[in-house]
Formats: sequence, structure tokens, C-alpha cells
Amino acid sequence: MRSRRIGAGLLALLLGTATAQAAETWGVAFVHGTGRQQQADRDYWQPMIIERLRGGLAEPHNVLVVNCDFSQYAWTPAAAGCLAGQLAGFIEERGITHLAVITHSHGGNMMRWLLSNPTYDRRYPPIIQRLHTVVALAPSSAGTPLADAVMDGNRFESVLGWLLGYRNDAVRMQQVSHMAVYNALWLYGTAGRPALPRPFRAVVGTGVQSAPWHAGSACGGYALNLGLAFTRAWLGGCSDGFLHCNSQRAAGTEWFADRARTRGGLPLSHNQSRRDCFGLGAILRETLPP
Amino acid sequence: MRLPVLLMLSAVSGAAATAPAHVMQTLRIHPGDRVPSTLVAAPLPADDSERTPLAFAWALDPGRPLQPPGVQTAVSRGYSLQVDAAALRRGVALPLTAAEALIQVSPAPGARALPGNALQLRGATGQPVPVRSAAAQTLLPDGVGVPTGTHVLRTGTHVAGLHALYATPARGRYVVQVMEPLSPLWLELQAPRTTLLAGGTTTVRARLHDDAAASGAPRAGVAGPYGQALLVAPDGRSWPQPLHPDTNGRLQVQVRVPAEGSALPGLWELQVFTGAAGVLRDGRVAFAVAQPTARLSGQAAADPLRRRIVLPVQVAAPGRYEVRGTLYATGRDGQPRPVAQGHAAAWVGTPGNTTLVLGFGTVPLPPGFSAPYELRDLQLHDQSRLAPLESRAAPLRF
Repeated sequence: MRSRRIGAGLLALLLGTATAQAAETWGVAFVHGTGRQQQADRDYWQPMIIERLRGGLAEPHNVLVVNCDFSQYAWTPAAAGCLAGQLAGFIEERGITHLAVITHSHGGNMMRWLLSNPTYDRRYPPIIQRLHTVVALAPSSAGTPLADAVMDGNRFESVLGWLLGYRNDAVRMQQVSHMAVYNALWLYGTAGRPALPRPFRAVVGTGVQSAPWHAGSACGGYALNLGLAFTRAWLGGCSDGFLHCNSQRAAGTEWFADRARTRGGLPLSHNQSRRDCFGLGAILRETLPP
Repeated sequence: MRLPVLLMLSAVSGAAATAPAHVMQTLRIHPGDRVPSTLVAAPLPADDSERTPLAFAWALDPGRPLQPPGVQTAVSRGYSLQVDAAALRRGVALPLTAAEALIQVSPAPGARALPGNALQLRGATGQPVPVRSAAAQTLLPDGVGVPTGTHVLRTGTHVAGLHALYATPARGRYVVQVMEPLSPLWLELQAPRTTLLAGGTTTVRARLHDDAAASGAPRAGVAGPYGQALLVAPDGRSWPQPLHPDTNGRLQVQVRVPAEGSALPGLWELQVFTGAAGVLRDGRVAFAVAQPTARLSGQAAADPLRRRIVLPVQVAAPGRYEVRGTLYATGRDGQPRPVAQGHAAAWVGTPGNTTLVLGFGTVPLPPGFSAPYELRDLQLHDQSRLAPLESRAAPLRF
């Protein structure tokens, strides 16, 4: 009799567990970096990494590739407003209960804006409620001196002022001194600040492989890797060619640095960290339930 | 340690909040708190502010202490020059202090885009210096963008010193930016505040460091720093700011932000341009400027049972206003630690007095934590104008 009660209890537990799992509907959203995207699945991410994540979903249609204008300031309707609209629509249309968001570069800042300012837009809280994890690939959490270089190149005035001949507010935002202020006032998750309401896990790119005879230099495009090898000199030390490692580690927690997990222990340049290079796609599937 | 996160979403009518019958307490003021003394009826920017009142709170890890932001520090090992075509044809003097320098040349609107092979760097003897050259558009990620025709030169391991940059086919104006990541000479800027109220002041300090001197090998001739500074608004307006030497060999600038602020969102910058005996260094610090459209009344009614704080607010201009703060609870050791973060916002269409309510009651306390509570890092924000209006480090204990 006792063994029958135990068996019944175990069965109830298993059924309960199965019921709970059946109630979970997982989805994955890809959030691009700086710039305006209209076909990010093709142009920014390319299909391979998207398909890797899709293959890990019980419902393969539950994939969203966001297309927004991230050349604007984060809080604008075209940026965070667009992001919130697409995420909210995806969640509602698909009945998503658990959302994993994969970001690249400035896309990490976009999700941190949403997570850090939950009362800014009524769409933000329901998104946060269903958000399981943000995996931030090479996030520009503390900005980059290269953004300063771009802005310096656009400053013209007879008295060393500022002529607005070229606007990219997102690049302006990612200047090192600007991100320091945004992190102090409006963005959580950096050292000494309140934690974000959801896990923000950074994947850090630590180098650029540009030797033409090395297999690691071709993935993602050799020419782009060659350029990033050039810009590494601007940054010095550990970087992915666009972002210093310290900037990538500045917010949330570090999930892993590239060489610790990639196939062959190869580094992920800033371009490669948005592509299915060296097994990255398979690693990201760990974000989803088995 | 992963904590369970509990979210609270509730409709809070800021204007019509029914406050519990708790005694109003005076909010404490500490040195460094920012409290507006007067309010202004600033115009409302694009009217796309959220109208729904919202409140939200989540758990924090009490084992992870929080720290208030310290002095903002910026470091620079570079400088920029504006040059015209005639100067590039004659040769623009570029002092270099280290190997592996990067030189970016950007054409102004209307200037001729220079081919990479048109740029030549020569050393003190007039001999060409071998450099690597690349078009900047091939170096930076998609979407970042640089002016068409921007080129980057990278010097090698040659000896530092006074060089000259030539571009014979130049026409128009150009910005030449020099970055020396390996230089022992660097500019440090310190700004004590990340936020100013419009009309307010702050002092920024600049110091040129020489690592070679620190190691006991002082650089001959590096003395007497000089410079100028420029305050730049988000809308592009700028104001020269005089730099003055202090008694410690540093420069400082007293920055006063115009009372009218800026109609455009974004951060203000103080750009500093310095030099000392053959060394040029530029840097910048950024900060937020807020027109004081609202302020806390200075009182609050706190309910320790419900962990709920009612905050009266005085509003001078229509907009969406938010309060945010960190709840500290007392642990078994008697020490207060952070346990929850809360935000509450509401649209205020008519200037006057209103209330906002910070609620932490739906966030479970960690085991072993209880009252008394403290509210720390209380902030009032104007969300419509993206302006941090008021901040109080430790205003309330209940």
C-alpha cells in the first residue's frame, strides 16, 4: 500500500511537472545593433545563427528577428518604441510565456533601456514579465572610443563647436563619456548599480583573427575581420576590434569569454559574434530548455 | 545566486491616489543631494509620453552592495585639429609621443574625399614615414557610419616626435584626429557630477599625466599646461569656457549651464583642449542637464506593513513624472541592505500638486530581513523631457 502511495505521488509529481512544462511556450528574439534594419535576418545576423536557435525550439515558428531604427536615441519611438512593439506583438501573437532575447552590440543597451525604465512605456512590464534571459553578444555596455572617433570626425565649427552635418544619435550615445552618464542615471546592471530585473548574460569577444591562412579569419567575412584587426590598435589590450573587453563586461554577468567555449578556442571578432562562427549558435541553444 | 524576481504591475492614479492614513515625515537632505529651489514651466517636447500610470518593483540581492556614482573620470591619449586644404598642402604639424599612433582624417561636408594614397606622413627630417592606411568605412561596423572619404593611418614602431601630415589634393576643410594608445602622456578629466540643473555650476579639473616622469625619467620640456574648453549643448550651441591653472599644476574650469537649457534631448559636453610643450591632448566629459519642472514636496508618508511610500510632488509643467528608489531592509546582523528596487510614474496634465506612490509590498523580503526599512537613492525624473530632476541619497527611514 505504501509503495502504491509513493508511486501515485511520483506519478502526480511527474504529471505536475509535465503540465508545468507544457504550459511554457518558449520564443527567441534577435535584437540587432546600431543602425536601421529592415531585413536583419538576412543582412545583420544571416540565417545560419537564426536557424540554430530555431532548431532548439519546440515550436520553430516562435522566432522574431527585430527590425528597428537603432540609429536614434534609445528612448525614441523609432528605437525602444519599435523594439517594444515588436516584442509585445510577438509575445501576444505566439502566446510566449518564456522569451530568450539574443542581442548584439548596441542591442544590449536597447534591452537594458527597456529593463531599466519599466514605467516609461506600458508595453515594457508585460515584456519583462515574460522575459527569461537576455544573452548579450559583445554588448557596448560602457561605450567605445571608436564612437568618440566617429563623432570627433563630425565636429566642425569655426570656434571648435559642433555642426550637425551628420546625425547618428546612437553612435553619440555610445561614446565612452556618454555611456558613463547613461549608466549612472538611466541604465542598471553595471557595478554598484541596482541589478536588472532579468538576467543579462554577456558573451565577450576577446580578439580578432585576421591572418589570411587561418580558418578563423574567414568566418563572417575576411575583409571585415581585417578592418577590425586594424581598429584593435585604437583600443589596445583585450578587444573584439570594436569594443574593449571591459565594455562588454560592464553590465550584467559574463556568461563566457569566446575562447573558453568556441570550437578550437577561437576568438569572436565584433563581426563574428553575430554569426554562427565556431559553434556559437549551438552554444546559444543552451539558453533554451532541453 | 539567482533570486526570484517578482514583478508588480498596477494602475496607480497619481493625481487621485488615496494615501494611507500615515503621518507625513520630512525627507532628510544630505550633502550632495540635488533639490530644485525653483521650478520652471518648460515647454513640452513631442507629445508622445505614456499616459498610463505604471508602477514596477523587483527584488535585489542583499549580498550585492550598491554604491553611489563617484566622480566622473575621463582619460584621453589623443587630440583633434581642424585644418583647411592649404594647411594640408603645406604640411600640418602633428606631435606624436609614441609608436603605433592612429591618425584619422575626415572631410567636412563639401570637402574633397581624399584617396588613401593622397595622405603622407613625414618625420622631423622630412622623410616619409611608413604607415598602413585604410578607409574608415571598411573598419567600422555597419550602422556606425563615418563621413565618406574618411581615412585612418596607422604608424609603426618608428621614433616619436614632431611629424607633418600632407595631402596635396585636399580641398575644403578636414578634421585630423590623432590617437596614441601607447603614449605615456595622458589627459585626465574629473567632473564631480553627472547631472546639473539648468543654470547650475560645476567645476571640472584637467590634469596632464606623464608616466615617464612618474617612473623617474621626467620628460624635458613638459611643463605649464595651457588650454581652452567648450561647453556644448545637445542642439549644437557652444560657449567657450576659460581654463585656469591651480596651484597643483592642473587646470580647472568653472562651468555654468545656461538657465534655458536645451530643447533637444541628449547630453551636454564639456570639451577640453590642452597642451604642454609639444604635447596636445583633448578630452570630454558629458553630463545631463535638467530644467526643474517638478520637485518632491519634501515630505513622505511611509507604511512599513505594506512597504509603500506616498510622495507628494509639486509640478510646474505638464509631463510624465517618475519616482524611483531602493528599499533597504534590516538583516539579522542589524545592518540595512538593499532588497528591492521600485519605480512609479504617472502623467500630470495640469501643473499643481500630485502624489506618486512607491510600492515594494509585492516583492518578498529575503529570509532574515525585516523592518526598520530605509529608502535610499530616491530620484524624481521628468520622463517627458528625459530629465533627472531631484536625487536624495538617504531621505527616509521607517
